[in-house]
Amino acid sequence: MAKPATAPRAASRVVVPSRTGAGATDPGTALTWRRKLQLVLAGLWVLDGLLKLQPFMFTKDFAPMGLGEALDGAPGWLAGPIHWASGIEQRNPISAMVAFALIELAIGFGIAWPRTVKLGLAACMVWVPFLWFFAEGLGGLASGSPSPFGAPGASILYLALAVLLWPVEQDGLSEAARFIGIRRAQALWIVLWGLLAFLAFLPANTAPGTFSDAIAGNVEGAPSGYVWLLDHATRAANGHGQVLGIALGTALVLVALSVLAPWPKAARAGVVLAIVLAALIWVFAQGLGMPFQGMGTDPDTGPLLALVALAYWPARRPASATETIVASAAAEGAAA
Amino acid sequence: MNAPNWLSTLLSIAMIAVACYALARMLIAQGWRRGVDYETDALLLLAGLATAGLISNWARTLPRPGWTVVFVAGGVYLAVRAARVWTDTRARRPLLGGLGCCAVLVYAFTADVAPSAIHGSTAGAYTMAGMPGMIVDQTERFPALGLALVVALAFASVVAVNRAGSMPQIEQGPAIGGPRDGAPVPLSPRSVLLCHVALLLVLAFAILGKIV
Repeated sequence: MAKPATAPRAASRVVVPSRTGAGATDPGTALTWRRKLQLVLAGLWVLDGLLKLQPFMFTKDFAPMGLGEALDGAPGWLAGPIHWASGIEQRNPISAMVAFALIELAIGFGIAWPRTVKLGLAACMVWVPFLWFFAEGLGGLASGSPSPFGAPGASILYLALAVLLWPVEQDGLSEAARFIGIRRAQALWIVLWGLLAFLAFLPANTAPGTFSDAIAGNVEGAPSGYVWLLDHATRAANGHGQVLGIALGTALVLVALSVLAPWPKAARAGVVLAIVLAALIWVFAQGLGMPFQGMGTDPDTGPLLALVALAYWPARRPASATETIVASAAAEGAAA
Repeated sequence: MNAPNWLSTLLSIAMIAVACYALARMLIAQGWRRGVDYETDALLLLAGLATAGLISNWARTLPRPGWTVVFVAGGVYLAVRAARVWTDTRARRPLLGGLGCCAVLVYAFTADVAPSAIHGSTAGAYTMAGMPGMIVDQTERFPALGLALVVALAFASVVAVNRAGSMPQIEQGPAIGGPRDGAPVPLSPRSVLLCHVALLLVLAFAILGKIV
């Protein structure tokens, strides 16, 4: 596409920067799977930052309405600090929101720029605990009736992804296991999906109207095609909350246990099921993050759960150091 | 639109700066004997000016139908160029990126993305119009498409930043043969990508500014 202006005498010398642990690549070459996952995480952060710049976020009404959701059923030790943060945000809506947007855009672009991946991920780890506590009320886990549709909160999933996708050179059975090791990666998966399964089986989440109410709550302001889909889903789910709750809980248990399966096919099936469940929860229970009313601050947990699942996609079995040495020795012997 | 005026003004000035930078690149490339991508820089020049007018009334230049025609024509031109070099991935990619940029701008001008004269948020108008601070505004058309474009712009900006950061450093050096011997040295290609990122973010801001 570039067109030469005139034929100059000097030629260019291309200096390729050294690769970082992020798996950064030169333009024109393929990105590593780990780098692609990092870029998706970066994109979600940038999207989060952009959503903070919606008109409603700059009003004094955002704090009581946006942060008010975190107060639903929150105990006193949690509600007090959230009230305090809400008051600060309400008094300074413009400066607070611009600051939030800039921080989240900086985290996203920090991860996207190959040389600052670690800085971006570290900033993510520092920032999300504040969000999780003050803005999400611990994802509703401390409330009286936590739901599998919102728990454990988007922020804590950002934190988990920042750890799982930390730049590293060593091999692993999956991207998730490369930095923290197989055992810890398995434990994290079981805790995450096991927690969702536990919540799905709670009596409050298996009541007849739980699913239909959750779906119907996403209709307002949505485009007509999406409303049509949600209306049909609401009618289908109406009165079947117990069956659907048990089915969802059972599927989540299967996902949680799939990581322990010794067969790669079972592990892959677990990851696929996890992605399907994340998509269903996102589309039907979370309303795609409810962006249609101008009050959505993030795309919710659905995309993040799917991204976590993708990080656990079993890799081809990496060759161990011994196997590599044996193979190279055999090759040298054959050549001799 | 409730975004503070200083933020809209700042972003408009940034877009005009992007346009001026693209114009300067095209003007000085001949004299400096440096290589520039005229298609990309011309698109940045036009898109920068058009986007500035999308978020600030004082930065408006052409009428909306005029800009729409410009970007439809630009999109058709880039689509034809991309089809001709389809097998060459390196040449095709920036053309398709430019085509996407034209598509977003056509959406913005046909869906009434513009600074709102109403002071107050229109958010929640569907359910909470009676609440304090909730003012019903005329919404921009095809808001779901606008939201989808915002998501696409966010991810496109991330990919552009990754490409800018992965770009090899180009240094002036003696001709020592090889395929690039005698080729013009590109004029700061990384800065062009970063201008693209700024453009994508401001377009997303403009769409979100009046989405409800």
